[in-house]
Amino acid sequence: MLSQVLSNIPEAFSLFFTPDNIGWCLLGSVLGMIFGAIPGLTATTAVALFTPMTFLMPFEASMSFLLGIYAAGYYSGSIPAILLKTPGAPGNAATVMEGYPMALSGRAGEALGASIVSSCFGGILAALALMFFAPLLSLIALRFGQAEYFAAAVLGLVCVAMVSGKSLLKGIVSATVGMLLGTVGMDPIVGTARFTFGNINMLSGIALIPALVALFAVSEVLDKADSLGKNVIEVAQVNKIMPKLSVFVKAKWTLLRGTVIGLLIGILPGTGPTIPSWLSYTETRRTSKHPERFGKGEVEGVMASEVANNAVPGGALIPLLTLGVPGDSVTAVILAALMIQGLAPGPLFIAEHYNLFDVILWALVAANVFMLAMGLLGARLFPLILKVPTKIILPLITVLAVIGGYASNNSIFDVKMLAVLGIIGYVMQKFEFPIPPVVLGLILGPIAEPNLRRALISSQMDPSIFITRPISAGLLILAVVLALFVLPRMLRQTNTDLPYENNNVSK
Amino acid sequence: MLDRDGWAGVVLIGIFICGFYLASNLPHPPAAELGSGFFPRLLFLVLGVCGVTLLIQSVRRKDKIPLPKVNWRQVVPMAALILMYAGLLSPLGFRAATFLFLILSLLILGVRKAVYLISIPVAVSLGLHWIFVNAFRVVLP
Repeated sequence: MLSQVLSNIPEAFSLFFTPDNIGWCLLGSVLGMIFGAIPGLTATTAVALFTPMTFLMPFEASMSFLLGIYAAGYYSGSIPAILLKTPGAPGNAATVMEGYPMALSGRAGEALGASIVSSCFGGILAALALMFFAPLLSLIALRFGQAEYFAAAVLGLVCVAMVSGKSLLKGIVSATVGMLLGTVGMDPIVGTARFTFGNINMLSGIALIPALVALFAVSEVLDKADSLGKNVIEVAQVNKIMPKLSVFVKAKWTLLRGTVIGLLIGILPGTGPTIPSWLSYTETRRTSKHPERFGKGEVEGVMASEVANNAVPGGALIPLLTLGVPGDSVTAVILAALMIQGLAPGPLFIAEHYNLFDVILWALVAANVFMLAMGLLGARLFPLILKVPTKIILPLITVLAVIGGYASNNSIFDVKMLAVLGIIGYVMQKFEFPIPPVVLGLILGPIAEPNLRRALISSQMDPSIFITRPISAGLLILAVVLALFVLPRMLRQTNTDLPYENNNVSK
Repeated sequence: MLDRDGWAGVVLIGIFICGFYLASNLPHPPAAELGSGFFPRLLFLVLGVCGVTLLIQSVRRKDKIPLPKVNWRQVVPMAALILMYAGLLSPLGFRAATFLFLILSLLILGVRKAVYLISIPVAVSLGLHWIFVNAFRVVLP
C-alpha cells in the first residue's frame, strides 16, 4: 500500500495543482488566518462553518479549502497569543509564555516570524510523516473486527474526555451526552425508532453537520456575546518580521522534538494540540542551556510551542484516515466533509482511494506553504484583524451557521435543531462541560454501539471478547494506561507553568 | 447548599431518571439478544453515576463554586433571536428573516450607528442569498 501511495504522488501533484484548487487553498488559508486570529474564534469554528459549503465542490477543492483553514487557523491562534496575551485556541496557550514578553520588549515581529516559520516546518514534516505512517497503520486497521472498532472508539473517547476540560468527570459527561445524541433515530441493528418522539424528521437521527456547526459556532457566538466588552487590551506593534536563518539552525533539535511530540500525541484519537504544545515548550525549557531566559521572551519557547501545535494536523489525520476516528476537533469536522463527498474514512480508505489520500497530502503541504507566505507578508496587518469589532462579526457568523445547517440537507428542521443544540452547547460551556467530547461522542457513539452489540452477540454475551483479542486488548490497555498514568502527568505539565491569566482561551 | 456543580449533578440525575425510563420502554424484538434500549440505558446510567458524584463532591466541598455569571441583557435576547430566526426562516424566507435577525442582533450587541444597522443587514441578506443561490446552487427558503 505504501508503494502505491508513493508511486502515485506525482500524479496526485498534477491533480491537485490546478488554479481552482490553489485558489480554494489560498482562500481557506485567508479565512483560517482571520478566524484563528480573532480571539475567541478558532480553526474549528471556521472549518465547521464552511464545511457545508463544500457540498458541491469536487473532492480536491473541498480538501484544499478545509485544510487551508485548518493549518492557517492553527497557526494564527498564536497572533493574539503574542500580541494580546490571549491565545486564539488552547493549542497556542504555551506561546503566550515567551511570545507576549517578546512583544512587550518590542520584539513582536520576531516572535510572529519565529512562530510562522516553526508552524510551517512542523506542518510540512508532519504531512510527510502522515504519508509514511498512515498506510502502515492502515494495514493494521485492516485486521479490525467489531471488538477492535469498539476498543478504538473507547480509546478516542477516553482521550478526548481526559484532555478537553479541567475535570475528567465532566469530560465523561460530555462524551456520554454526545453518544446519547448519536442514539437518536433508527436503531442501527433492529431498526426501531429511538427518542424520536413521533417526529418523522428525527428518524434519520441528529444530522452531523448541523450539530457540529451548532456546537462549534452557535454556542461560541453566545459565549462571545456573553463576554462582549470585556478584556480590552492594548495591541502590541509589529516591526521586523523576517527571522534570521541562524535562529532556526540553532533551534533545530527543538523543532524536530516539537514535531515528533505534536505528531505522536496528535495520532492519539481525540487529543488535539493543547498537550503537545505545552509538552514541547516545557521540554525545551528543561533541556535548555539557558533556562533562566525562559518566561522573559525566549524565542526558542515560541518555536517549541508552535512547531508542536502545527504538527498536530498531520498526526490527527492519521487515525481519521485509517480508523475513521478523528484525532482532534477539526478532523471531526473533516470527517463530516469527507462524508459529504460520499467517502467513508476507515481501514479501506487508503487502499481504495490512495490517489485521494495523496491529494490530501499535497493539500496539507500547500496549505502550510500558503500559511507561511501570508504569515510573513501579512504580519503587519495582524493588529488590524485583532481590532475587528466582535459585535458585528457574531451576527454574521450566526447567519453563516444557519445557512450551513440548512444547506447540508435543505432542511428547516435541521436549522431548528442547530439553534437548540447551540443553546445547549452554550449552557454546557457555562457549567464547564467541554464541547469537543460531545462532538467526538456524536461521531464515535454510532461506531461504538453496533460494534459493541454485535461483538457481544457473536460471543454469546461474553465480554471477555474485548480482552482476548490482541488488538482490541492492546487498544483498551492503551486507553487505561493513558487515562491513569500518561495523560494526567502531561496535563499537570500544561497547567502548572502558566503565569498569565488564561481565562481568555477559547474552547 | 448546592453549588454550580451540585446543580449540574441534580440536572444529570433528572436526565438519568427520565432517560432510563424512556430507554427501558423501547421495544425489544424477541429475536434480538440486545434490544434498542441496551446502549442508551448504559449511557444514561453513566450520566446518573456522574451526576451523583458531582452532587456528592458539591455537598462535601467547602469552597463552593458560584453559579456561572451570565450577561443576561445580551445572551438571553441573542439566544431567543437565534431561535426566532430558525423559526421564521421558512415563513418569511431567507432574505427577510436574515434582514430582521441582523438588525435586531446588531442592536442587542450594542451597534448604534444607523449606517451599520442598515447597510450590514441589506448587504449580507441580499449578498449571501445571491452567492449561495448562484454560486453554490443552494436552494434557500
